[in-house]
Amino acid sequence: MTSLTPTTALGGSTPFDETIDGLRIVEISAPVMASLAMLKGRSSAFNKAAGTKLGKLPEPGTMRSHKKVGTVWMGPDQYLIEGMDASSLAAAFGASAAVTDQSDAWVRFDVTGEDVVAMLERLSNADSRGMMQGDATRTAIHHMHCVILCRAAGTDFTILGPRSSAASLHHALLAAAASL
Amino acid sequence: MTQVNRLNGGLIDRGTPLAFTFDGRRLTGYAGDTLASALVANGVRLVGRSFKYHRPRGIISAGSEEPNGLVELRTGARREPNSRATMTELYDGLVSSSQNRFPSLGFDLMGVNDRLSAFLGAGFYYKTFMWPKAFWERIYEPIIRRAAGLGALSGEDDPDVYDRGFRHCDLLVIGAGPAGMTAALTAGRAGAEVIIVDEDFRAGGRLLQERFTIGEQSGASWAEKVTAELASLPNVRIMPRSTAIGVFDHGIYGVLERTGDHVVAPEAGKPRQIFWRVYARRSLLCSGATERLIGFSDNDRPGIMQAGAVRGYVNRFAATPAERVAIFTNNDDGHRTATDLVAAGVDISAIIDSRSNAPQSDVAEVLSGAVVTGTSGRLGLSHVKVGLAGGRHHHVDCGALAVSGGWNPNVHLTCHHRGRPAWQEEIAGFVPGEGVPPGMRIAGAARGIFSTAGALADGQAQAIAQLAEIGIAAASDNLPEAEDTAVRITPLWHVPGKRRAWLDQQNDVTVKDVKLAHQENFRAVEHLKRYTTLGMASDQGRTSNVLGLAVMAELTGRTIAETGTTIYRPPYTPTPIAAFAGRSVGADFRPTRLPPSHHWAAEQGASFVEAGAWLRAQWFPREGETHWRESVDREVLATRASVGVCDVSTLGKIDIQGRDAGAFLDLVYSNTFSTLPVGKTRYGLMLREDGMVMDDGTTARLGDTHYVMTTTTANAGGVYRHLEFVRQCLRPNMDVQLISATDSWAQFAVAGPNARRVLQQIIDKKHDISNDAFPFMACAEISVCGGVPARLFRISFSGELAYEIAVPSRYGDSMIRTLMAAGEPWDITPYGVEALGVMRIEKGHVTGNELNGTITARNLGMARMVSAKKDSIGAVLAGREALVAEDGLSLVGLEALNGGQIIAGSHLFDSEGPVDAAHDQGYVTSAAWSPHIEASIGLGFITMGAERHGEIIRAMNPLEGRSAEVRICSPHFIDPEGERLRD
Repeated sequence: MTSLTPTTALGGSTPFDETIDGLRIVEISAPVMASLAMLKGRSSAFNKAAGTKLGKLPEPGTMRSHKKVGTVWMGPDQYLIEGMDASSLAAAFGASAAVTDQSDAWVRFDVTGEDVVAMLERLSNADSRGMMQGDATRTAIHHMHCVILCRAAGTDFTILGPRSSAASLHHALLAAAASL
Repeated sequence: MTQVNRLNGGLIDRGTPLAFTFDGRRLTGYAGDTLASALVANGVRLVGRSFKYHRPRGIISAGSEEPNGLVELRTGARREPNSRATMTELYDGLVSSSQNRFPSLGFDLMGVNDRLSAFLGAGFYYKTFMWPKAFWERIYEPIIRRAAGLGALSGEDDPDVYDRGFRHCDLLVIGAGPAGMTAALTAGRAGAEVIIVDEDFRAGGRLLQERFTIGEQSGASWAEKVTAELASLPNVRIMPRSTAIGVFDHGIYGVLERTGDHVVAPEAGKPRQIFWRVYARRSLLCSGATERLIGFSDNDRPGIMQAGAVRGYVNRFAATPAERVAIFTNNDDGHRTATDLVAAGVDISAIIDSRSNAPQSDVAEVLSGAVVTGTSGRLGLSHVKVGLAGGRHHHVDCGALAVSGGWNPNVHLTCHHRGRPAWQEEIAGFVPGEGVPPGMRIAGAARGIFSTAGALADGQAQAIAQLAEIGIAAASDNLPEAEDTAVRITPLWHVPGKRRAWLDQQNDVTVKDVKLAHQENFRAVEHLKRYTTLGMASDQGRTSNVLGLAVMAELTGRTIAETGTTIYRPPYTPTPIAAFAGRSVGADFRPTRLPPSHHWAAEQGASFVEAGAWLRAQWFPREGETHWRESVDREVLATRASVGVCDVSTLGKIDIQGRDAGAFLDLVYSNTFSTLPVGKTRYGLMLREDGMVMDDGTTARLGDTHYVMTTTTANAGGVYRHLEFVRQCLRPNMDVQLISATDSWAQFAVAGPNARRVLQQIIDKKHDISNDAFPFMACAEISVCGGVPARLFRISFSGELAYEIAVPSRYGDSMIRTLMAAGEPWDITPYGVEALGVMRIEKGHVTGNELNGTITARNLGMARMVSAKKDSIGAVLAGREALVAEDGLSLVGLEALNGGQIIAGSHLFDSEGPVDAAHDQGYVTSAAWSPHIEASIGLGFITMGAERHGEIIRAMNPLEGRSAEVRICSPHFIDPEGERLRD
């Protein structure tokens, strides 16, 4: 028996990548992501492991990156980790954290261009215009629970949405991009 | 000859002529015109018929307060009724027509209503159409609706798209007149994030309509220069064609931007309008003021306009409503009108000033202490009758009458949080009072500061004050010199007369109607409003409310301050529902969720059904199948005979970790999970606090501190929210963490006697899934297809030997194809939710249909699952007396006799006797054709059902006129001992 073949969240074999009037929308296939949540009474072990693997932990509403591993604040003592797989995280944090693989939970779109903020303003009530590099916020886009990450103020954002709604989110992004 | 009333000058672009039509007449205007100004320029006075009496009406204003100039714009699906001509930016190819007339605007048969006016006064509906009662809906209302009303909808789908949007700012400035622009400039220069909105397409407000100078330049040039500076500031956003329509909670403002109303049709994909939700830390309302008319006999004749509007048409649009204009005023503003008009070359017949101490004028005769007592002219004004100070009467020839009754500050938005405006005697108008929305200040004319210099200074001062509150220091600047005259007004609300004097022209309310309301004791302002419909039209009584309540104050002998004013509510101006809906229309009404095998299922020609937000395969038709049930029966029989596969990824999956995970589950489930061994799965019942069943599902223990809960598809979100509530609020000290894993896994049910054989083809050989090694209710983390991580659960919804196998979602599509290939030797059959439903009914498994929020564990026959050994949510209230009564409902199976059909929703009655609520014994929750039993079967709840197996009763559905004779039986139609599951 051969191995299974992965598809992207949109269902293609290659990720979507299109530029509409200077606004580039790219689906990032197979992002490596995991949730990391501190368990009760394990803060010293947790912080020690975090210091080694993740660097300084982000404040609410922000993300940080450390040695190509991104940490996004998602809630009190809860983080979304980009770029480190769940088993490595689980090994590093041991009993101090709950780790759940999230690589298949999300669809990730990276949107770049001068008009990104104008597009995001049509989609989400997050203050995308005021977001600085490293800002991260949970938000809703057309009723879908999403996370917006600012990679560079004004021009470079990541939108995470539920994987099962990838097609709807994608449709919303394209419609917003075309409506500017 | 076109544009007979066009003058020189103005802020129009004569280099860009625009062709348009009104009632089929081809006319021309210029870029910079509104439809109203172009009609004025073309000498069109009659633009519509009034709402109730079908009186001929003309334009009276130059802004959004317009009550009369309502027209239909565009044609076909884009036809839009009740559009204000004064707010319609002229574009080339604009098609407009008058409304509420038949057969034509000039000759309207419904004008007979005007002759019947004696019978149609305030409250006539309530008095006339009371009897007989049954006539209201069928006869009276349709007739009234046909006679009254305004334009008609096209009845076609709107071809345009609308967007919603969200913007944030430090300071939202509402209105771009002198106060608003100064405020925006002050805040913009201080570096604050500023949004300035204005309903006009050009910034400047009244400055565009007056001949005031600011410093050395005209008001219009000043506005242009400030606009340019604002545009150069990256922290300032200017939003023209944008109306702030409402103030909502927490500093949220609704702003409607008309992005595509000034073109024939928006470009493909571009919105016609955007409804913005603006989140402002502070706001400054600079909405200006609206000029009042004065009530006098026949004051609604086309050609009678606000004096300020006449100045606006002349100064801004270079269009005069007539060659000769008379002026009727109770304040100095009327005199300014005369000066401006004369400067533009328009004749002034007379200034009729009601004040005995009226100032003299250099440009026209002033009739001091005089009032207009009547008007005449067919379909338009030809002269006015003037009552002179001495009591004599005098006729004044004029094609238009410019009326100034004083100015009302536009306080509307200050009332959206129930603010009450306060009366200010000096200006004879209401200004913002108590209850202004938090975070809002008001500047300029909107709070009664009517001079230009005052507006500039106030705009600056209020902006500085607002910014100071949020820690932004803004500097005051030397303001340019500007007009600074004081308001001099002697209020005059109406001139007594025999003929009707109109207050609310949009709803046809007269002074007489207010008197009638007074006579019939509808004297409170809110009663006055509803009895007469004063101020209830789409203009919200902008030109009429104060007049109406002033008349009422006169009648009751109270002051206007004592009389008070009605409350204003959003929206400030009419707002299309389409703009509120934005993109959430049709197929895009809400987003969908697609299971991982969706594309494969679509390739198979599956029929899909919505399950919550999910789109699930309902059945997979095969060639030759002409009826859905053929497909479903085949899928059921094939699964029970050999093996079937179904995508069950939609079930909610919640990852639960922590040392207290078991204890947490013991609390949220009525049965015990802390004792569940690792590698095992258990069915769980979750109760609400009130003891009713909330949800059910299986939870697997993957490790000492790690469980995975499965919820029903429909309740996944609700259960997750409930668990978070318990974790964060009820048991914050528990060591437990939750995260949704629903989207992470593609999960397939593989069911049927050959299920194990199929799975053995794909599960990596190192994992033994034999019955001994992997018995019923086992679970494990395994690998498939050469190392792909997977989870395997031996659980069954269908009642067959069954597994659910999960792989990361990215492999879902590949997994279904692999399973289909691996199952080929056993004729593996994909089945949809319809077959899934049939099989679970045959097995007697409950789902959302049964867990309807009124059902207890006891009703389900699962009372023993509510453990008495521990505390769990809902356990206490599930023991309430009524819920444990012996004659309670219990779950039963139902089998139709004699080829009958059971309909879900039917109610259950004895085999004989009355069919009414008093004899209702229960109801059917689920029904299906069982290919296994070869009969229509169902599940339902009936009183003392567990003891009544074998009894024959009736399932009645009076709604559809259906009934069936049914036998009560065990809900387990197949394999009641569960041997197949353990095979």
